[in-house]
Amino acid sequence: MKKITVLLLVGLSSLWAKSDLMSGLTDIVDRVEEQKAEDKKVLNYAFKQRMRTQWMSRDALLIFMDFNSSFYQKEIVINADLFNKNFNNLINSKEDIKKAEKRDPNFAKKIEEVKKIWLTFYDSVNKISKDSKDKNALSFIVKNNMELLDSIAYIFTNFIESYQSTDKLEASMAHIKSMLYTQVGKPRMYINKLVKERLLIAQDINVKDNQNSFNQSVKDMDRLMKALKDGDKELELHGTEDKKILEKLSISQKIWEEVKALGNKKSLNKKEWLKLIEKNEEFIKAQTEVVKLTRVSNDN
Amino acid sequence: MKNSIMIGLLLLGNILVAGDVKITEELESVVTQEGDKEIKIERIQDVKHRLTSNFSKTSRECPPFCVQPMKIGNVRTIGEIELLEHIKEMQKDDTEMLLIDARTRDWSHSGTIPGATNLPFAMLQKDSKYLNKILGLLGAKEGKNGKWNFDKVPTMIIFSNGLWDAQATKAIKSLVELGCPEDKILYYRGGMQSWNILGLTVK
Repeated sequence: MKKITVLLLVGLSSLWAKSDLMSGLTDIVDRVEEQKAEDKKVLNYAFKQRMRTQWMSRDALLIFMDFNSSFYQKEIVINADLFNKNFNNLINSKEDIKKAEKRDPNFAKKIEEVKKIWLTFYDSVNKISKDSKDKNALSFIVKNNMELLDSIAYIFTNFIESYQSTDKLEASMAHIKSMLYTQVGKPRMYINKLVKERLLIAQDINVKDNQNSFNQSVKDMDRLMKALKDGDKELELHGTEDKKILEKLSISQKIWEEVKALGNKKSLNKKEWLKLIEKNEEFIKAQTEVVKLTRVSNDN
Repeated sequence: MKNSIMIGLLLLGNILVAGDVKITEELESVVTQEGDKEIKIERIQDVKHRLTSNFSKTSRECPPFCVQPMKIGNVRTIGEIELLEHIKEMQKDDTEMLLIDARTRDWSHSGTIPGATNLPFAMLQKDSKYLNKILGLLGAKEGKNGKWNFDKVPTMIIFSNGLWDAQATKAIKSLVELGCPEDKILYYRGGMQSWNILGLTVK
């Protein structure tokens, strides 16, 4: 009887030790994963900030052209405030800046430059939200939105890369994912950009350059949408076989074709403009679904 | 009448198919315990089943996804039968054995072998912030000379995605570099790819 009890106790303590070990390891991995989830938020901000630069610029033009101005005057402020909040969160993190400075010693200086553009941009957005006919505000937004887009992309790329693991295999696997996440979110930026370019053409602003940019945006968008489905070596995309993603991509593609057909028309009446804007918004929603599914899929 | 006979034959056919997909001639399933839950490891019984997941892919970018060697130093490489035997043994109270899924958390969460603990390979690297804590939990003791003693560490069966994935290889190499005796490690090279292709239960 005594022997059985001792054996049972040894057995139980061994079982406990094993489950303690397993849960102990799980706890540590959980802690590391929590940190990684925080890092991923930065990545997520990056994609949205990029899209917001074009969104604000498009909305500024819509307000100026009197397309549902009161609605877009509210929308533009919402986007600007979110941009401002995320931007400040990032540039106020000294630890993150130090990390990024290891890769680029001029990083802090670059942030100051971007901050300067952003503050005037933010001010211009607020002005146009109050006075739809403020030409100076619109002019600043039109002239500086692409620089803001490029600068913000540069800043976030640096942050993202500074988060990467020092381990070659882990960094390489993370790179494949971050390329996919970057590209899958990009059509949302492109759609705002090309609608903005189409609006600029309609306003007779720098028509030749904007027409060229518009044509290029259409080409980039066509290529990217195909690449997300079928892959593209240069864009570092492998395409997908995930049925759910393919289904959502086909919805985005259909909306994109409608946007393209409208955008390519020589001139648009008010009804068509409104449809173009409506499709622009629809596309962003549809592509956001693709982004969400891609993040949970492991289709490597 | 003819139709009824046909339906009857079809049903009988299905009954015959069910339960026919054994692991070996003698082995139908293995039961493992996770907390207070029992998980039965068996093969998918539908003989028409095909893989549609990412494990049906033949080609992946290398690097990082390169074909792995059969042998890593003197670490013993095992297949599914040996792994299942070990999983069975692990149910005994006095067995000091640990099944480690060395993949990153997202991979592991998308499906792993029942009974496995996720320990991403990067956490076993020398510069990992948590290395000391992990080795301590495993039962290793750091000596005054900074070297680790692995005497009390359970035997670890390490796997990742399989033939094309270096995550398990890296975990094994890291452990050996830290001083873990090679006979304390077993390498399941087939990993999740082979596990899935055989239709074995995934958690």
